[in-house]
Amino acid sequence: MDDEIVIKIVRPDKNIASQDPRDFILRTDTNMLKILKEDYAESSVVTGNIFTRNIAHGLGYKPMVFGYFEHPENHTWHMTPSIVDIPNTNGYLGSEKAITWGLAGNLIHVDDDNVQMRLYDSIDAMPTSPTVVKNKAYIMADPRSNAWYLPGQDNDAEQVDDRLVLKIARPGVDVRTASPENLILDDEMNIPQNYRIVHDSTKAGPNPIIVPHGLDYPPMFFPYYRGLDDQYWTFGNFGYAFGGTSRIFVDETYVYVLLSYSGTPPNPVKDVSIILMTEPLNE
Amino acid sequence: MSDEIVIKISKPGIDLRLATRKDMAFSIEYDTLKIYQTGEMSIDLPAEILTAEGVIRETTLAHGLSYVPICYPMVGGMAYTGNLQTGGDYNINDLSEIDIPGGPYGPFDGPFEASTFFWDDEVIGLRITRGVLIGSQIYGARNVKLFYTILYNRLDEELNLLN
Repeated sequence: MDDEIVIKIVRPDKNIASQDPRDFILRTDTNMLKILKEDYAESSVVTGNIFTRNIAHGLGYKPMVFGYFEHPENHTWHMTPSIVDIPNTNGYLGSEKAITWGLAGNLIHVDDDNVQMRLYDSIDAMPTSPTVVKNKAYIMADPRSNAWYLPGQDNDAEQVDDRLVLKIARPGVDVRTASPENLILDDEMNIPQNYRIVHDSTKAGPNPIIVPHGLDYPPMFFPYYRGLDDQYWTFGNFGYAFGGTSRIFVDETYVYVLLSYSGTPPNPVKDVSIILMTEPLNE
Repeated sequence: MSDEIVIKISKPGIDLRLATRKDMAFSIEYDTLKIYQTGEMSIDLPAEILTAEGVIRETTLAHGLSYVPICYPMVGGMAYTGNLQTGGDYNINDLSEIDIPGGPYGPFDGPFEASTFFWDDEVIGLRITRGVLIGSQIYGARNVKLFYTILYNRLDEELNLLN
């Protein structure tokens, strides 16, 4: 007999007896992505030099990481790896959002305990050097490899955590000794929560999609598009497939999707979905 | 007075009673990203010489969900920038670590080897494309691996929990 206690929190309009995992906000027998560390900075970037900022996480393994940076000229936020190039925001978004110089960003693993934010002013150099670039790294507790669905390791930390905390460990793992990747809920880790999905299947058109995201700050986001073989979905700013420009991004008010593409081959995008999170990028 | 039960956890150091939306570590007002499956896929690439041509190799795996899920990582036409002839096995997840300004999606004006992770409502897949636009290129044999994560959350739907 399975005597595991499972805590379930069901979505308001769903039944607790549901068998569909999507109906639950939280189930203690299902892993969720967890933010171990958020690291925001306003970095001084010098033209022609790759700016680097090291961020220690100390996990001892390579976690899932998500990086974002703001182009300071038009205050749009882009997910790494990304290049924000002039053709993107001149013309499509009008003079209000036009940029005159490019910016590239990447978030890399230095080793199993450190990541590094990298920023570079791309091909079209910044007119004022140095320029302050806002950027943020999210380091998840979750490994990028498939550790969760391998057998759980009990007693995987030497020290017992006896502080007064709220923690839920994955089934079969002692919560007092569980390491971060084996925790489902920990009051010291944020649970990234999606409040909205902007989905558009109107196919590629001559105008950008500009949708109010409903918050008063730039939210963490995940961009997706469907276009490969007219069938498949891919994670990313779909301009990458054509050589590297960010085409899905946010600012304090809107989500932008630049579907129009004047190059060759023509834009094959059929659908886009942007997952919007409650996490703020600008602090 | 509302009789709804509300569960909220504020971020460390923030008074829950004063916390706004962005101060929350967890709130039942919003959805979470729930992991359905993690795993790895790989493709064995052969040694070969390509002359002004492209070759696509791919592998797919049924994910068992009957809808389009949210998946990670971001791998959409990501270029391998190691030595195409002598380079050995590699992990595609590491390609995002290649330096800027060249970047992981470097220009494809020369011989290339690029990876794409894709999916629909039935399968996930890994595609490796080798190509030469002009002239010839010797490619080495190697194994290319990708770690993936599939969520229970559906991707291709409109959702708004603000209201």
